[in-house]
Amino acid sequence: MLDEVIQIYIVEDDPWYGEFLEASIQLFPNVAVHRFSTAKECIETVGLKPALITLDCRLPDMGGKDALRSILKKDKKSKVVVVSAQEDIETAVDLLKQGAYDYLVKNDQTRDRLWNIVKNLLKEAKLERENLRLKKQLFKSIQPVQLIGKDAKFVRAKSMAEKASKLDAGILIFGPSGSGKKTLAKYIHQHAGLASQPFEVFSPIGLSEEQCNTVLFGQEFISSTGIQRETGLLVQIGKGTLVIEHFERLPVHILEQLVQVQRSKQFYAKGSNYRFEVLGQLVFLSQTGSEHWFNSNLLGAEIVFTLTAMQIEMPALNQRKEDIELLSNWFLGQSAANRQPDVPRFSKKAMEKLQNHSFHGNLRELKAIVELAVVLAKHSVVDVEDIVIQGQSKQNHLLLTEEKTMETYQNEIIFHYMEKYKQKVLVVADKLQISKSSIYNLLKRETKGKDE
Amino acid sequence: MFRSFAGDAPTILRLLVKFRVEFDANLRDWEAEIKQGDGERLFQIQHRWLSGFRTLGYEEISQKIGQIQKILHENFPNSSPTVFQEAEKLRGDLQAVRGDLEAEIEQIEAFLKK
Repeated sequence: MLDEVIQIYIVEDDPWYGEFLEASIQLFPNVAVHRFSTAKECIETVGLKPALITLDCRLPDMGGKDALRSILKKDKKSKVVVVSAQEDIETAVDLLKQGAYDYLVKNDQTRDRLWNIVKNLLKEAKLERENLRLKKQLFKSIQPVQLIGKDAKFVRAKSMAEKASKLDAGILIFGPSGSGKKTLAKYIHQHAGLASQPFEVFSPIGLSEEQCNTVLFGQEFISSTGIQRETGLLVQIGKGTLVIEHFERLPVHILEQLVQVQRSKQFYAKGSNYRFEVLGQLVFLSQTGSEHWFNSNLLGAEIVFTLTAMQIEMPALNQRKEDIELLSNWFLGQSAANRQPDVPRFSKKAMEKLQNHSFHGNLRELKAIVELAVVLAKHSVVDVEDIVIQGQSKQNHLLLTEEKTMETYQNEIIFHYMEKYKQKVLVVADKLQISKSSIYNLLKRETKGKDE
Repeated sequence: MFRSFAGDAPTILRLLVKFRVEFDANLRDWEAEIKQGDGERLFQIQHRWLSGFRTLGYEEISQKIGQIQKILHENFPNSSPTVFQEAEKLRGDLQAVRGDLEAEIEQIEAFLKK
């Protein structure tokens, strides 16, 4: 693939110096140089997005600082290298803080330093192109989020999410852990036509207020190599989506800063006087809705309603029993697609077991159970014994979660003991403190039933 | 200076020849402004000159022009007689640099003819 030609602007009123810069830069392949003798001429063409602008600090129509400000106002991503005859550190720091890419003094080192800048720029441009190509490739492979379910509450949440995707305001999704809040946030992201844009998730758990601040808003600091700028997630997402988990656990000061961001769509990072614009969408996740916060005085109404224009409740899985079969089959298809050539199916008993489970871990738990069942299934049918429910004994499961008659429960217990004690009727009768005849009668009934 | 640009002699020659043209014009203006006593014009000339001298590696003359620049800065926009005295003193140095420049151009031309 041929390398793209990058455009470099030289803004210099001294014709000899302009020629010197042009001659230096043109030694690089794939570089096109355009020269301007006034700031105004350059500003008018900044829209063409040059890869680099070298700007003389003293121009006939404008000072370097004003020219830099005007260029960045037109295109804030412009990389402007200020070239000056002055070796004034204060001016250099000031210009760098205002957003200049670098500061060069006109001396015998200028050429070498400019070469380094252009070399790095070409490397950067190549990486950016590579990044874009990979992003496009990745975008092609992104599967659209599928929301499976017929339950009325769930359908309502899905419909609200579709409406929320048209909103340019914060959204709150609340519901128990594992209920699919993040998936719903991704659905909103994709439904808003942002699939190719970044989708980032942030959790404040385990972070101090300062760490939260740095991760979200970024920071600027002076190091031995100059001014370093670390952009926060709010800027990194561009026009994409930032999902903030455990919304109610964010420190109050951060919440207040987010309120300001939501109002003005811009902010200053720590230690910086550079104004960052926020173009992306914020989605907040929480296990509880705003009513709970108001009742427990956790968060004020101003914060909640400024940050979230819409609240969507994601129902727990045990509230949408009718969806368990649908979801189980969907997860089965997903898991089996990677593991087996033939997609297995659930036996009737296996499905009953799933439908009778309470699913405190919601969708996350169901997914884990199904994935394990696919691995455990010996044939093309996932049977009841393949459904392993963690943290619950088989006996408890049978007794507490399934609705059966007392006689059925009694029989199952006896059979379980018979299996456990290798069909030794006397031992089982002793263990269960029942008569031997009860066991013989049961076995007789069972044999008769099978023969019939 | 030439050595630091080795490998790019034709470009350097072109730049040096152009600089020689500017140098001569600036030197003429420099002498004229000293006579006329126009500090502001002198300030403009030295500013451009300084960039060129520094870039081409004429460190000694750059420092001397830098001293004049300092006096001009301190007195700007009122031109002090000191500025013109210093500027006058620098004329001799500038003539010497002109000689160095000429020699350098000849050296590169000879190198390219080989």
